[in-house]
Amino acid sequence: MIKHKDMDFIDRYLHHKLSGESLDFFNDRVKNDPEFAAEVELMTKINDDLKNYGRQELREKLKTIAAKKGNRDQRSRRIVYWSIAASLLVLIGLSGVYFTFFYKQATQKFVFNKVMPPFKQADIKYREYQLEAGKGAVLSYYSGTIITVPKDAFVDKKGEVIKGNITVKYREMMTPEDLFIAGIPMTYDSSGHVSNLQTAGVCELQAFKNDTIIDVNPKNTVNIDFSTAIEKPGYRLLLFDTASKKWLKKGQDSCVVRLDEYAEVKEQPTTFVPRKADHSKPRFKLVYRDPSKFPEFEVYKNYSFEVSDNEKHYNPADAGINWKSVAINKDNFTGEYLVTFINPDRQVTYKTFPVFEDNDYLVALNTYKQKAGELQQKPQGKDTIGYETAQRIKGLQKELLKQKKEDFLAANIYRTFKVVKTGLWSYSKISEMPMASISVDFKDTKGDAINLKYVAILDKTINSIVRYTPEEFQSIHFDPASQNELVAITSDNNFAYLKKGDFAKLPKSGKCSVTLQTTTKKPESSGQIIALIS
Amino acid sequence: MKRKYTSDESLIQGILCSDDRALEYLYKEYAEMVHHFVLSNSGTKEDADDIFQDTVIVLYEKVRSQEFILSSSLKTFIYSVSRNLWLYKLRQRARDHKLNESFMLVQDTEVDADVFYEENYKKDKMTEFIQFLGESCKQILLLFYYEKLATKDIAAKLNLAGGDYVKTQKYRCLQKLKSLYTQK
Repeated sequence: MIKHKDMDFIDRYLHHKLSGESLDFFNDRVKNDPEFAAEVELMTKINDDLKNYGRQELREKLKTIAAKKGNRDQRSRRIVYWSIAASLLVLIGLSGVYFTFFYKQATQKFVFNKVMPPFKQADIKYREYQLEAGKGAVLSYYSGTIITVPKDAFVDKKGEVIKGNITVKYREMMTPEDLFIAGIPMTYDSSGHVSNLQTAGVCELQAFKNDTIIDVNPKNTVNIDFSTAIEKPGYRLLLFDTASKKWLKKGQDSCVVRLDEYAEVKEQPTTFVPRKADHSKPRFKLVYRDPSKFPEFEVYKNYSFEVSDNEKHYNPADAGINWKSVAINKDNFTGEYLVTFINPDRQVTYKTFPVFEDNDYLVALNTYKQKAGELQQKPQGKDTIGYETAQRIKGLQKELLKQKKEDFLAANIYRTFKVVKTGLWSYSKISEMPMASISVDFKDTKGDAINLKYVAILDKTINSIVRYTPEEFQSIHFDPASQNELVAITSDNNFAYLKKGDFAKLPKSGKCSVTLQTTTKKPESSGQIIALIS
Repeated sequence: MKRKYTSDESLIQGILCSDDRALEYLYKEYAEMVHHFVLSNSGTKEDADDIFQDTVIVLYEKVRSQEFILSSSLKTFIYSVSRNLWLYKLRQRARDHKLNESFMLVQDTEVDADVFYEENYKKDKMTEFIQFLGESCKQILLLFYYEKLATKDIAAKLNLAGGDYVKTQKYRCLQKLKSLYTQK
């Protein structure tokens, strides 16, 4: 049985109170005294289990407090309901006039649930494309976005496929200023709970046949390679539904940093030069289930993933573990495949590349030569416009590769999606409510109170716009760490804004008075608005 | 609530003394803020409950560790801990979602069920052992090993004779617990 003294020693170790010589002495004892080592092992286990038990107890206490509070809230809500009911009876009995008055006030509240550009003449302009609907085309936008319109991609109201000349209109709103100027609603309604959105970009695609709106053929959808400046993943594909006036989820993020591929070439299976396995290196035998994720593997058989020379943390012991799951992702810069092995308690990622053993290598090499020859040939077919455009863009992208990595990144972040309906699309995510909150009185430069329709906080760091109606001026939120701008629309539809640099001087809490500049004339272009506020 | 915490420091003192009223105060003051953040960022009520509980656990364990220095307000600390925890959970979920996407191993790589269930078995066993030890042992061991209170403070909290008495009791409780562990 362990002595009191030793127990104290172990307790001090478990409470991290040993250091220097005493810790060295402790470690020596663990090394040289098996009985003491066994005791330390058991006590460490007990200590961990007690910690888990203690945490669980803390959770239970919090649950009890929450349950008690829930009951209290319910009781107080019941009391409030009864009080309101009683008051209403009295009010209805006294006068119907007040009730009508309050109702009218409530319905007058400004709601931003549709596209409402504050100044039509300054709205973000569409780029227009004329094309033959029966042939399709590859269209490019100023930002680098590529719109691939297949043949017969549009239908009329009856669902009949459109033939002949059509007009496609496309525009992008990539910054908070753009969102303000184009009047894009940027809230997300999830079962009545409304949150603000931050975005990687919003785009709008419309199509017309003889000035009549037409829609996308669900059997032959338009593809958009949406060029965005935000590389971080986690955004969701949203479509603005004009009927329900809400953004609807349509898909997950699809952020890709592209190297030298382009959609037209992508249609043919890309490939890679086979590499012979090095028998002195560890490798994993894996097969993939979804060919669309790594089409370069489509033409090959019997490959395995060899641990790369760049992998400095390979642990041979991991080869003996039964892993529950495995995932593979590609590093587009190094060309390596990142293989992640996962168990409930641990996961490891290794840098690898595909290799072939002995005869499989020779077979793969032949396949590669054959495939590479095919790719160099120009595809045969009536429509070569798309192919030529693709080749041109591919050439431009190769030029970009020669530039610095950062420049290349900025020009090559794409989010690819299928447009199943014309209208507004975006890659956005719910934005958290910033902590700083101020109550604001807005004044004009003469010091008089200014009547505003709404105020918008443009957060340029997270790319968001949050609009506030006068009822909400007591609680305007912003993140002091972000680069913010404040713009507003006056009740007589003029433009008001906080002078450049003045936002940073606002307090982080409490009440304040903010002086806005106003324009005497409505802005006539988006450039004019941007010049005023930025 | 009988006692009001007038400053962050007094609340931290309450946590250090394992005062349950500190826990109630934390819930009253900060649960809504954490719930609002999680619910506004794709979370459910259950997620928000979990994150608040995890945040309190982090706070308690930080406060009890000797290195804890509150460099901002407690509100800011709680907000940033809960935010980090929730973002971490969201990232984990996104990764789990990715795992199911495209690849499978050729060999049979099902998790070793015995090892996996062994962990859960141990947790259940601890609950059973603690109950077997009795309330007094449970309190002493948790206050000493989880809450890291000194034996004299445990004596004061549990109205026991003194630090030495707690030390002896703790030793006895541990011997009992160890025998339960080794019997298994």
